[in-house]
Amino acid sequence: MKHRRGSSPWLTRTHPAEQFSFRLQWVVERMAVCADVQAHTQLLACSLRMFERRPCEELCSGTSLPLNSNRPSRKATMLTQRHFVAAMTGLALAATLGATASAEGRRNDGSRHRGSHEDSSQFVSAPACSVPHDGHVQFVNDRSPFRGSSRGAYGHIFFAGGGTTVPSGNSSQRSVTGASPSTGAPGTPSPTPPGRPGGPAMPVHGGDDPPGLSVGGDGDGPDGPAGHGDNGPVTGGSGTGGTASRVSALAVNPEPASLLLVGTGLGTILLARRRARKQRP
Amino acid sequence: MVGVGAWVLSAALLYAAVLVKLVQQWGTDPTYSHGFLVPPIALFLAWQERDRLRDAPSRPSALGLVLLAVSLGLYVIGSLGAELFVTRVSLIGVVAGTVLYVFGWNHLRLVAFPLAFLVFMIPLPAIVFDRATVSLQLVASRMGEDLLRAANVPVLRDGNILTLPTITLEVNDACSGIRSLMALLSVAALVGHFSDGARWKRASLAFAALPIAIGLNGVRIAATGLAASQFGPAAASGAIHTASGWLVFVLALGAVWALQKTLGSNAARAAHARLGTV
Repeated sequence: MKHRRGSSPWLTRTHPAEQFSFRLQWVVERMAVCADVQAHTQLLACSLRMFERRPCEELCSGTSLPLNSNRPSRKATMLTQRHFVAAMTGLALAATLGATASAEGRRNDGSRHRGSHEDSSQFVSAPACSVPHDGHVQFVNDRSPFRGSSRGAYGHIFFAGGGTTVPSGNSSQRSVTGASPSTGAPGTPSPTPPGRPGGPAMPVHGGDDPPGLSVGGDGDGPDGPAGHGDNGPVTGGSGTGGTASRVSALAVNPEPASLLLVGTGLGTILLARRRARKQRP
Repeated sequence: MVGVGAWVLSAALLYAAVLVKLVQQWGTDPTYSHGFLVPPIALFLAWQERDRLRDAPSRPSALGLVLLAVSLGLYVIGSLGAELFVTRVSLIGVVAGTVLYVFGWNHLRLVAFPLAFLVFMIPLPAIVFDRATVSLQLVASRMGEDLLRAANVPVLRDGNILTLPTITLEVNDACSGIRSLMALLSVAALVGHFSDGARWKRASLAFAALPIAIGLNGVRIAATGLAASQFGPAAASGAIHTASGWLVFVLALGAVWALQKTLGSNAARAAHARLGTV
C-alpha cells in the first residue's frame, strides 16, 4: 500500500459513507503500523476533520508516517496541534464551566444553607451550628454539663464518681493548652477519664483568663471539687490533670507559622548557595 | 502568544474561585501560610530551566490530552463534591497536561519538579490532616515519655497526657509537629533539588525530613517536660515554648543539611575514585 501526493485515493470515493469507511480504515492502518505517539496525535486530528469533506491526506500530508515519505514541516505540524489543542481545551473548559456553574446554581438555590465543610457542602438543608468566633462554646442555659455540681449532667460521672478528686483550694493550679502543662499534686493521676487521645480540644466557656492559660477557679457547686467551677477542664476527652482549663483549640501556638519556618529554610538555602558560589574559583 | 493568553485567561476564569479561597486560607491558617512562598519558588525553579526548555525538542504527546481531561474531570468532581483538595490538585494536573500535549515529555520533565513543588501550597484534606495530627501526637507523646524516662524523670503517660511529678503536659494538636513537618518537607525537597548526586539520594533527602521532624518534636516535648519539672511551669509556656518550636526547626534543618553533605561527600568520593581508576 503506497500513496503518493496528488493521487489520493480519497478523491476516487464520492459517497460520504464510502469516504468515511475508507478514511477510518486509513487511520486505523496507520495507527497500527506507526508506534510514534506524535503520529497518533496527527492521525486523531486528521480523523476529526472527516466532517470537513476535505482529503485527509492533504491535511496530514507530511506526517511522520512510515508509509509517507514526506516529513511535515514543523510549522505545519505545530499549527495543526495548536488548532486541535485550542479546540479541545475550549470544549473542555466550556463543559467544565457549564457543569460547575449549574452545580453552583443548584447549591445556592432556595433557602439552603452552606455547610461546614469549607463553606461549600450542598448536603446541608438545616441551618448550620453557629460557633462563636471567640473560641468559647456557649452551653445551653449557660450551664456546663461538666460542672461539678449535683445538678450537672455529667459532672458526677466525670469528677465525683470516676477519678481521683483533686484536693480543694487548688487555685494556684494552672493549665496551658498547646504546651499544656498543669501543675498538680505530685503523683496525682488525672481525674478525668481517658478519652480519645489527642481529640480535638473543646473550648469551654469560662472566666476572664487569657486564652489557653487559665487559673482554676473555685467550684461554685456545692459538691463539686475545687477547680471545677465555671473553669472546668474539658479537653475533648483527654484530661489535663483535673485542673482548670479553658481550652481554645488554636489559641496557643507552640509552633511558629509555617511561613516563618519555610522562610527560615529558604534563607538558609540562599545563604548556603551564596557561600558555595563564593568558594568556587 | 494569543493561544497562551487565551489558555491563561480560560484557566484563570475556571480556577478564580479556587485560587481566591486558597489564598484566603493561606492568610488565615498559620499551618499553611507558607503557601504564599510556594508559587514564586516554583516559578523561579521553572525560570531556571529556561535555556533547557528553549533548546528541548518539541514533541507533543496525545497523553497530555488525557491528563488534561482527567484533571478537568477531577475539577468537576471536586466542585460537585465540595472537596477543595481535589479541585486544587486538578490545577497542577491541568498545567502538566497542557505542557505535555503542547510541548511533550521533554518539557514536562524539565518542569516536573516545579509543578510537583506546587503540591506544598495545597492544604491537606481535613480528614487526612486530623488523622495525621492524632498519630503524630501519640508518637510524640510516646517519644517524650521514653526520653523523660531515659533522663530519670518519672512520668506516666495516658494517651497524649504526660503526667510528671510536678506538672502535667498535654501534647495537643498544635504540639503534634505537623506544621514543622510540612515546612521541613518542602525545604528538604528544595535542598534535594539543588544538591548534586543520584536521584535516589535527592529523594531520600526529602523523605528523611519525615523521621527527623517527628524525632525532634519528641525531643522538644521531652525537653519541655524536663525544663518544666526543673524550673517550673513557666519554662513550658509562653515565649520560651514558642521559640523552642523555631529552634527545633532550625535543628531539623541542620540535620537535613548534614545528611545532604554526607550524601554529597559520598558521591564526590565515588566520583574521585572513578577518576582515579581512569
